[in-house]
Amino acid sequence: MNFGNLAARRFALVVAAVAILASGCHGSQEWEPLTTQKIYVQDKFYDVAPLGPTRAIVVGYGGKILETSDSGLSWNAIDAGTDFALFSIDFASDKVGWIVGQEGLILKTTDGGESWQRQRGEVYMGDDCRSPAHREGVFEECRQEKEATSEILRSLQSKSSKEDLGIPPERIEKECRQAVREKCSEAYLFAVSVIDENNVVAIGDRSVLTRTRDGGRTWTTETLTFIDPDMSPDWLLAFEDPVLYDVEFLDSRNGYVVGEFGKIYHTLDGGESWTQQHKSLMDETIFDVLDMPTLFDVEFLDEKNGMVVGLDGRVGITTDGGQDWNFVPTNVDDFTDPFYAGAIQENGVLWAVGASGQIVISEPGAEFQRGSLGGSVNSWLRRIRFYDQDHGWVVGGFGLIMNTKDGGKTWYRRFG
Amino acid sequence: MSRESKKALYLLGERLIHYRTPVSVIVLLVTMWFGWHASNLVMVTSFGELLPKDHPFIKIHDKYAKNFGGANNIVAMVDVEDGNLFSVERLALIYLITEEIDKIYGVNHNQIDSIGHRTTRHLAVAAGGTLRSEPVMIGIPRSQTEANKIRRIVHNSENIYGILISLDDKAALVRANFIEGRLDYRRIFNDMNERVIIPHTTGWIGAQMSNIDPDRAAAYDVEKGTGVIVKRVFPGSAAEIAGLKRGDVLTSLNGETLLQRWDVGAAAAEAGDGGIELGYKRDGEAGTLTVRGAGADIDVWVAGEPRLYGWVYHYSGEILWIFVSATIFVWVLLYLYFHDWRGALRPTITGVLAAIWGLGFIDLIGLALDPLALVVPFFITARAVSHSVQMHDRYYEEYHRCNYNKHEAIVGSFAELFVPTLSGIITDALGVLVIILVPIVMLQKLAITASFWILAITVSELLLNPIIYDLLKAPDADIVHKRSEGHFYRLIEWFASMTLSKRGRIITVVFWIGVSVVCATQWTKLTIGDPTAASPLLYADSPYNASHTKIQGKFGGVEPLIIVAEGYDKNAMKDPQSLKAMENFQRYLERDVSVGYSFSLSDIIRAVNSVFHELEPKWGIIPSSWIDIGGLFFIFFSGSPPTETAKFVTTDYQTAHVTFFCRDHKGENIARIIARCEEFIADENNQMDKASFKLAGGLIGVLAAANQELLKNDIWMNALGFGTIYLVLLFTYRSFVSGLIMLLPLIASNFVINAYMGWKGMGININTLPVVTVGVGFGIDYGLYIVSRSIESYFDLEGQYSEDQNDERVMQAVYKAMITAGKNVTFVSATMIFSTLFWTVSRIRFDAEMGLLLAIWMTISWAASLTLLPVVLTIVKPKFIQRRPAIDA
Repeated sequence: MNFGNLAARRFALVVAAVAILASGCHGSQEWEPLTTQKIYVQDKFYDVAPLGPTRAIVVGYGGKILETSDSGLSWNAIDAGTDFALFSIDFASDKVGWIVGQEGLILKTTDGGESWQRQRGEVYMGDDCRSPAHREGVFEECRQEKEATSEILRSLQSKSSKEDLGIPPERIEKECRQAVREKCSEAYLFAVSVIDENNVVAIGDRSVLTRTRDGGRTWTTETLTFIDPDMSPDWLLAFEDPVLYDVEFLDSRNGYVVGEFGKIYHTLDGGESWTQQHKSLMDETIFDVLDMPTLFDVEFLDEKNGMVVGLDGRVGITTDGGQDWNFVPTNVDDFTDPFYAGAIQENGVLWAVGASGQIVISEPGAEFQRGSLGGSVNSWLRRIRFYDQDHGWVVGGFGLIMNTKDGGKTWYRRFG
Repeated sequence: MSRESKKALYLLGERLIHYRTPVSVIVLLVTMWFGWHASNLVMVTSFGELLPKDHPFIKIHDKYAKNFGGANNIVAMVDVEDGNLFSVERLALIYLITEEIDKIYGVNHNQIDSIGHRTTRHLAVAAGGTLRSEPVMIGIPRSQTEANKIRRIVHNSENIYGILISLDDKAALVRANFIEGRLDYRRIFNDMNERVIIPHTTGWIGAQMSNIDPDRAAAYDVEKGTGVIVKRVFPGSAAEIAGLKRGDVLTSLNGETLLQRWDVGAAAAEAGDGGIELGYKRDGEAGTLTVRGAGADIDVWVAGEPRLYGWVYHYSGEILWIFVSATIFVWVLLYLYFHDWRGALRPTITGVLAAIWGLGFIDLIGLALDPLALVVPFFITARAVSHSVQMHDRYYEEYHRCNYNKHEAIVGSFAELFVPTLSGIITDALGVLVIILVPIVMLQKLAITASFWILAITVSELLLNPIIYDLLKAPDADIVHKRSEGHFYRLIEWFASMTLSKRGRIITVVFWIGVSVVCATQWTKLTIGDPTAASPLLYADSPYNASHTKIQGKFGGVEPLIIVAEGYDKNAMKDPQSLKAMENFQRYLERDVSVGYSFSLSDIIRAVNSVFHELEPKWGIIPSSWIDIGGLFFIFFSGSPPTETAKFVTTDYQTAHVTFFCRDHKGENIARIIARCEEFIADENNQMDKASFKLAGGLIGVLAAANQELLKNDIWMNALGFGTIYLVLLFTYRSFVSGLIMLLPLIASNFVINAYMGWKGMGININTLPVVTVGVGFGIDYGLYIVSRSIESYFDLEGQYSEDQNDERVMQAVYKAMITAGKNVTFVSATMIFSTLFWTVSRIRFDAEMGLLLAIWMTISWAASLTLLPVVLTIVKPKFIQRRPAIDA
């Protein structure tokens, strides 16, 4: 073999280097970053708190809190410290407010929504579970059971085996904590009404009502039931622990709660005692309480005039402080899905919004008519709230946030 | 060079002529055997062979494709311009389209997603207030009230709205998965056109029809296998205006017996305003009517891999015409060059013989022809023609040199070109064989068959060559003379003089350095995988890519990436943590710009939970307790057979999936998405106690696997490709430097081609890789002929130059090689370049691009072999061109 002269050797080195370069060199490019928008089509928004003509805070699924100070042109994402669903938000003042949500979650802000702190509500659904001793008993029972199993497993282990067949203590701890959560789960809190900076009431699943009188330092939980010993088993189902979906306090004493089976509870003593108001809704079309539509929202303009909305496209109104409620026609035949929320503007215009983007509006003294947010809105609308006569918000599914600046004549879709 | 120095080769030539009869008979018999196999060859793309079977992604894909869907999805989008989908007739069209797709051969009947399919369910309140799961559409709605009900169901179902129906209510998706073993792209394509698209768009007459069951033909008074019954006529439709009624039995279409319901749509679409005449029977009486004004106010757009390959097959008929045109063109050029029909015949014999052996071998090892791989055989045939032209020209040259002694000329040309021809063929064959490194069956089979095909060139070029020339009449002397006269010969002489002049050498070196620098700026743009958002196999304005773009625009994604959540034990998918992790995965990856939307079991559980609680959106969350989750699953799935629910979760609730629908399958996007998936899965915050995420199925998953294998083996293939060539050259010329110098034109052309691919946005994928790899060695035969001829000329000049004049002798030897071998190289290159350009008219963009790519490749290879190589030889003056090659010795 001949390796050639010096020039050839030098040449060989250069060519070898080029050949290495030439083989399999592929470009690497900068990755497209993950999108950082604030609102996604997968977002689900449940409630909005209008805090001024241009300021609002929206809450939703997955611990999402969005805040805007420019009518929704731009949004700030606020860390909730949880990925639980946030169902309802209400403020006592510009600074102090509460959010409630999944698994008895209660969050409080004292800086206008910039930051939120979790409060220990312990909103257990069963009466017995509200006792720490009971929960500890559940845990202890589970632990003993698991340890016994662990011992049996170890006894089956061959002496020569070095592997420990027993259940590790940390796994026992984890599984038993889960068992406690399974047996003593905390209620979903679907709505909160903030009366003032000290008094807050929240309601939710299994007729749970929890309240604080000291700004959230302590919360007391009760089950709001009206069981008559003479009730039939069917009725018992409706009265034992209906899901409560909304609470609205007009002042520290006068409040309403609505929920499953058309339940409307009213208090005039700040929640010390409650009366039922749903019976007036029963008429020739609804003569069994089990047929009563679930009510998802209650709104009052003043002490006398209020509305409830609910299943089957139902809207009920009262003009006498709830002594007498009546379902009113919405005049839209194909609206048979639920209305989830109502709103009453300062001038007395009533709004009801619900599934499939359905909206009805009633001018004062007039009947309801089909309304529109403009454009094609087919997603569910879970909340409509007005800050004043002109400024209002609608939030819902598929990342829907809209607002109006002219009393609802025109609505703007907001994107993040 | 003297005859003595190549005694063995001269003897071999003599012997072949002596034993011409037995050799010819053996070759003929083997050729007939291969020919018989070649006649059985079919054109089929086997999807399974495109996958790297040992890749972990493919193992997951294979394990779960039958449950969760594979990579071969057809996606049809029904789209309306005005209003929304929720009218009786439009919903009917969605239902009928779904029904027809369900009947296409190879479709997995349980993996169809459409609001018109039985497997798309929702929770309904049954009598007594109980909940039950039922199909969204049990049949075609009978009234607008029923259509409105469907609209409400859609809007209240998170697992449907935005996924199967667009958020603006104007588009519906029908997605069908095909069983890999039953993929017949041509049939799927035709059925989609004939049974799905035409009868429900341009051919829609506004009537629901069904074929009459042959067993009931007598009841309808029609012959078995004929007749169509009208099940429904839509108000205001062309059918109603024409007087068609429910229950009519259609017996004839434009005077011919009516066989299939979709024939009516096809005829109506073709007739346009002219109308079609239908013969019918109603209440026992026969009649005819004319239906005019067919057409639905919907569009149907179809995308997905089976559809894409269907279009490729649809266009593949053009390849035959391209091949015929190119062959005729080559024939004409060969005749003009040699002034003799023998000059055209010899390369044809080589090309055809090699093709018969190659095609026969493909069938023999159980492979089929892929329409996207046809450019490779064309390329190999081009190589065969190239060798043959060199041999033929040398035969004429020897014929002239041997005073028109045919026998001596045959043996002389055979012996003198044996080394460069054999080296060239072996180099090519081994260069292609390195593709076998990629563990993708299709590529491995291609590597073996292409190598064999290339080696088969030796049969006619070396084995039969002396025999053929012996059988053919010797050319006339004036024909032989004409070769070394004329403009072309003078042009080559001028070019050789200019190139080897001092100024020419400087310009050549500077030029190639400049080219290398410019190419380096583009080279880094070369990517692994597909480079464009739509399919690069077809043009951006092709019907397929137009459909793909439309669907992407409405729904955000078409291409599925399936991530499996594999449980450690049964009921793992009832664990809230598992479902939450799947949901978090969805929300995380949806933030990637290339991911349109996603779907998982968590979407179902949220939707069911909400419906279970009177449609309250606040209940649209994942329950915290596995008991609640189990209860909801029971309600939703209890009415469905396991075959239906298996597309969501295994029957024991152990394993489910998260499917992401991606906007495209660009290589860089797939790599990024997979990397993000791996990041998510590795994050300890996303761990599941009872399951783990496994990558990856669906089209994106299998492409990711293929791309990873290509990337992993790309460097090796390049190194081995060049290394193989280097070793063959080392063996041939007994010199380390020979390989390096002769690799220069190859490196230069690979530089330019990589840069061109980067600049044009072509990626390295399973389609382009074979072409690119075959091309790596392209041009080495040019170099072999020029170098071998230089060596030969160097010894021919023995005695004409003193030792001090060795540099001039080398220069003169190279010059002689350029005007002889170089002339042939130039002619062959020009012929091949122009004939390859015929491919650029193909409507298969891939073929057109590969044709252009190969034409450019051949141009660069020629240019480098005719400029850079001779210049470097004269500058370096390597020892190996000043002594006899090993094989000669």
